[in-house]
Amino acid sequence: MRGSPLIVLDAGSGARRLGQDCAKREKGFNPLSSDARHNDELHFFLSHVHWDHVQGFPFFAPAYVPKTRMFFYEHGCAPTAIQDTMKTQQRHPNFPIEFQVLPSEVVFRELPAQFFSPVQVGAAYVAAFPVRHPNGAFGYQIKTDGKAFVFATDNEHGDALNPVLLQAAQNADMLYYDAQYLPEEYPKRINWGHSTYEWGVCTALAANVKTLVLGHHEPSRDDFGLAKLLSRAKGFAASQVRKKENRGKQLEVKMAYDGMVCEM
Amino acid sequence: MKKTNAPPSMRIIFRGASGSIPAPSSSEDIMKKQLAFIRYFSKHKDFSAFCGKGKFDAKKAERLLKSCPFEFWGLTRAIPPA
Ligand SMILES: [Zn+2]
Ligand SMILES: [Zn+2]
Repeated sequence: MRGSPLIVLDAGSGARRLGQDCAKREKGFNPLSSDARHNDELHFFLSHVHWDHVQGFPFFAPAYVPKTRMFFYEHGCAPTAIQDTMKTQQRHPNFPIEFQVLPSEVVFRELPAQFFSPVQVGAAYVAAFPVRHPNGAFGYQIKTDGKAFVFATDNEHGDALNPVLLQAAQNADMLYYDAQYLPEEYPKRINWGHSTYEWGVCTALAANVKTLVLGHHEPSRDDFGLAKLLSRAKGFAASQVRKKENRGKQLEVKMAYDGMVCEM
Repeated sequence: MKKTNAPPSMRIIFRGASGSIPAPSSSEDIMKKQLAFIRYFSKHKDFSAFCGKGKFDAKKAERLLKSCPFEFWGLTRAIPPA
């Protein structure tokens, strides 16, 4: 975000390469901020602490640099303190360096109890909202400079469009949505906490989102499978846009991949 | 999406490797899978979603791929070789 310290959403396997990227940035972690105070700061907003969302953290290089300052935000209604998960994950003999002896500075911050109450991170505002997932998870709405990005991973659709997610995503420039399953796979995975591209498209159209990014890919799906999923999602979006209730709307559908960069 | 030279308000970088090409057993196997991947996508209308704008030259890609089998992992979000 322009004018903000670097904001990191979740710390799964991608955290390792993010760390490598950060280590190469000589003028601070966020090239979009010219404020020297932001140079060594990182602000982590975690959706939840299931292992696929924290397992990259021990391999995140900036955590081992003394001048780095890391802020972790947590919500009072989360089932466990982030600190406990991070400590357990790196507890001896799971990992050679324990979380509590990291040379960087680690600060835990409480999120406002009320959902959609933003915290300010530099020039950006980040607000948490609940999504539907076993043991609970949070989505985040990030706004800066009139632009809005909404992160809604690990969200299972219900029987109808989720009003909380619709509120979060209303008029967003980009919505990242959990599209782990194909519609025909979903009935075997009810209550696993994930969703489909169809619900992503319907949510995005109902909330007037500009770009939908499909993610949280099914680990057993290969690239051919992902390409087919994207193709089907685009076809589905095109068919939905033709419907009367979506008249005049447009939706771009993308699929997240490692290293994809989107600017707004 | 912004098309001007002004700095963007947001730059969102996706990192991660959910989903993976089935684990290859040898570098030859990796190359075969990647070649199949390139061939498939060069005919696929959604290829631009993976490799960005511009024309994709499948012959050139295959030649490149043969000389350096690992480079093309970057085309996908798949797990890079460790
Ligand atoms: Zn989860
Ligand atoms: Zn997950």
